[in-house]
Amino acid sequence: MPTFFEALSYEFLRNALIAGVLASVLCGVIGTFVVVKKLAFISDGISHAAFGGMGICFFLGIDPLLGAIPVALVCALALGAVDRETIRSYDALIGVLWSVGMAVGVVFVYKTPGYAPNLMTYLFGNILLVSRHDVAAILVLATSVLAIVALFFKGIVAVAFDEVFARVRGVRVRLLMSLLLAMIALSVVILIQVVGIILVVALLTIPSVISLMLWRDLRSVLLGSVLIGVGITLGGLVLSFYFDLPSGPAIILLGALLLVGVYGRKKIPRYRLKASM
Amino acid sequence: MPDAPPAVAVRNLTFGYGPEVVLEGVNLDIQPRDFLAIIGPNGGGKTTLLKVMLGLLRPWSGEVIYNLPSGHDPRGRLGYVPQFSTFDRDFPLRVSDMVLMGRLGNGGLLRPWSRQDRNAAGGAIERLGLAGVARAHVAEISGGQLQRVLIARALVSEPEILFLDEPTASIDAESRATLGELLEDLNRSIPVVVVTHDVTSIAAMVQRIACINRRLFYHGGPELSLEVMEEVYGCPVELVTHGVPHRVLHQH
Repeated sequence: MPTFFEALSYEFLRNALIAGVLASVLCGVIGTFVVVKKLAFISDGISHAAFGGMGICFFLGIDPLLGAIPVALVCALALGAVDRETIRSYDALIGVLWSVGMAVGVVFVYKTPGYAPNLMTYLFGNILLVSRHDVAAILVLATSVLAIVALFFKGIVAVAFDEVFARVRGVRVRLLMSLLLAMIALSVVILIQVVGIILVVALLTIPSVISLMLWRDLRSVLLGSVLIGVGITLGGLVLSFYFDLPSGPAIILLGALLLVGVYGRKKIPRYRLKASM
Repeated sequence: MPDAPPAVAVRNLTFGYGPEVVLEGVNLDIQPRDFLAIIGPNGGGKTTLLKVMLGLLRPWSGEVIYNLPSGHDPRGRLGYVPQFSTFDRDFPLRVSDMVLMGRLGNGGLLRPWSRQDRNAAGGAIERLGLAGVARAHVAEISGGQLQRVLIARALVSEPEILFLDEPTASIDAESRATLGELLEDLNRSIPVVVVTHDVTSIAAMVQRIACINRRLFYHGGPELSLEVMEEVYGCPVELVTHGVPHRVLHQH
């Protein structure tokens, strides 16, 4: 069996590595906003809803990314625009969007004539199937999202931290919130390629949650979650290579392990101290 | 200043949540050098009135007319010191970064913070005695320090009117003294509006009082009659008695 480095001569593995690193950088930045603004459930809803768009594209025989992007964007903007008082249960709305997206996707995949794509690949991702074309698409999307976030950084941070004050200061809170949701939607679409629909929310939140436990300054948290994200993605890929594991779950499980480890490291010494007093 | 137009004119304002009317037919003028205390029972609508004036809530009817030195458009001209609960203290942010956010709306949103912004933030941090905790994180400082951070954030925006919501609620003696001097100093150039249920802590500066309990019951000098207070609170109120939630100084 070749080592991981020898195997890098295969294009599919190089593509996987590049896609993984790009996705992790994006995760670190967008994920931090998802965590501090408590948007994990919304992100998860968007990723499942996006499957509806992908299913329609299978049926039409075109690139699923072309369906996922508009559906994710529309869902994100709709969730941002909906009046929470009228809808009564915002939480339930996200759940409904989630199931409806999946239902639409499954119906269209079922009705697709001829070869039906393997649903498991989209649910749990297979980064090893990422093509050169996909890498290019991920690169363009990730760069655009990061550039937009960098451009509006000041306002996005202000809105994430204190919407009320930002509004008093004349900041266009709704616009920026929609922008943030749109960037989350695009990131989710990219992440689906890497870890699949079901695992998106984990890759989006795990690195930032770890980073928030370790650092308290926004810049450090952002940098930390990028590095942690890259670390667990590369680590997960190596693990999946040597132990013949599915790549997406390997990445997530490694991240979860790190999360538990950091939590324990933070928590246990304090208990010992208390016990000795 | 009877000749100058009021800095803020609240005209026939009615507002409510859902079917419930919270403010009804409120008329209130705030003069360019006013130090106004808005008092009233809990749930009487004082914070709601503040939020309508800040443009955070849209009134059912009536209007709020601004006439600030820079004109009638209040956007980005209002200073606001909220109660603690409007933001998440676990947010990863340093004290200096939080104060800097007061500069939002003073320049383009797309431009990064300028030297001028940073200088203004540094000045406000100094002025409020926060230099020692400027690098600390918002979660690590005391309640009194956080209150001063909120005021510093409001000041760096160079507001043309300052609104404070319960600024003395959870504040230590040292911060209270600083706050008093500071508000008095600010009041030399801009109107100050304080929502409070504890007028004693700022009584020396208050020029006018507005009693709100759904309607505006009283608006005038700080010498309140017992009858007015009883009418507002709907029950007998002892003036200048300790332990009563709404204390009002009869004389000072």
